[in-house]
Amino acid sequence: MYKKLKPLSLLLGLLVCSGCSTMKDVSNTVKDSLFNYEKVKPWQRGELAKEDMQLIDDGLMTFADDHIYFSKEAATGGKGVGGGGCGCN
Amino acid sequence: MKSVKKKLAFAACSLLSHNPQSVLASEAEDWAVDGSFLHYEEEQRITVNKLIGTLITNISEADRVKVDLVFDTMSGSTPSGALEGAGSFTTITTPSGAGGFSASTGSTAVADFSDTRLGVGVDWEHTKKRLYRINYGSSISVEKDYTSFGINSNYAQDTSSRIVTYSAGVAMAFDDVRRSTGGTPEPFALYGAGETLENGTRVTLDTIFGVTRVFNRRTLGQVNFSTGLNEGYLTDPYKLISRTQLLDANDPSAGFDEKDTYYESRPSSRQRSSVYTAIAHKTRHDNVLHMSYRYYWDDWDIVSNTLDFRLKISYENNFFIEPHLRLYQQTAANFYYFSLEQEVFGPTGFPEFGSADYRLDQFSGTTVGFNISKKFSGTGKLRMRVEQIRWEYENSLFDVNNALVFQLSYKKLFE
Repeated sequence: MYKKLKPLSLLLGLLVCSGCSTMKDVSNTVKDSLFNYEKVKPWQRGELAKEDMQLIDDGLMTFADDHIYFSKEAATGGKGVGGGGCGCN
Repeated sequence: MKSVKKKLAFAACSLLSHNPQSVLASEAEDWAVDGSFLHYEEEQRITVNKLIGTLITNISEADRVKVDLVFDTMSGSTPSGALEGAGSFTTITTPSGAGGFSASTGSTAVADFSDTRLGVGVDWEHTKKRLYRINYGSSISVEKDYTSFGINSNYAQDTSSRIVTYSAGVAMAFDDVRRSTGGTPEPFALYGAGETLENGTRVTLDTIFGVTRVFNRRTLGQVNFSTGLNEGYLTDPYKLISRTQLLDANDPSAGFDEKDTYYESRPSSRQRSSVYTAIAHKTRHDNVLHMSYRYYWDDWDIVSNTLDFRLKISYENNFFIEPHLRLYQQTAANFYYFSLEQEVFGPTGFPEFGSADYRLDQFSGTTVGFNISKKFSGTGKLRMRVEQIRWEYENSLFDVNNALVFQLSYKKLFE
């Protein structure tokens, strides 16, 4: 099963590269984001208020990931505090 | 109008909330329900099935309550820290059917493992004057050999321009640690011998301070500083460490003999800190880029770097594909040993602390996967993700661990 998943990274690379528009889109990101500061008015925040623009946009995925990596790695935290602990192995 | 007002209020709330599942509220009407099934499987090791349920309800214009339920089943085998071939230990005792650990047949280096976990969390968030938010939370988690009770509070305040949000949070956890048979082993006692001590207790204090800034209409960024302290029993009551003697003292590559095996011993204090940065950006083609970086350090001399990258690609009909890449790296703890070498510690000597837990070794990890999601008529959302995680260890007996993650989630909003 794991051997079958090894080409997963290649597949994902192809997925991202599948549209030139997407690659060009990504290349514009740095210019559009950090170097394009503007004072955004409340009525200009339509995009920012959408779910997929939240810094944690899928709570259950984040919750599950926190459990996995807390169990398997020595470093924890950073995004927030709180939540139940576990004696994970 | 009331609905729009509520949406705007909660959208603003969710910009900076430190609650991991607060994002639900950005679209919450009166009720929001989110459920998930997760299957986690390591190659020839542990399998975990997890059910997660979250319910959010707005009890007033300014208050909302969230309830989380988690149920895990865990089974398989995990490295004990001991080396293979020690003649002196054969079993890690556990009462029949009571879960916990037992030595795997034919190998002393891994221990069979079976347990269940039930967790419940309740949060209450209050918004005042649309610029201040305070959250109070509590949680409890119970396993056969571990119990955790936690409380937390987070505060967030927007500047008058609503461009910047400052936040602070504090959390405390009180844990009870034991073997499935009760009690904890005497540190560095010979495996199978020594006294059984009382259950271990652990207190954790975590704090976080954050700043979130709106850069422009399509970009949001955040910086958090976290610091925390663990005090009490931080040893793993199941982990072991072996004593070894080189076959040829002049040639370490010739191999070693495994002598005795002992329970591990860790310090009773750990101070942890991290700096976390994240950015979310919607591109010109309405794809959403999420990037984050965390630098972590603690007084066990563990330093780690974590980089996370996701690109949510939008297709027609509210369909999304999101490739994900995560890179992780950490240094070893200052009391991590592959084994207690007799040439260093003698036939009966010990360091102040010692553990052969693979999670305290120097290692790196790579996560590759994708998430597929589909929105239905504005109130439902189905998500599925498949990921592969590969950890590669520098010194541990098992130098690679591969894991597969599958998660299926569905969220529904109710008027």
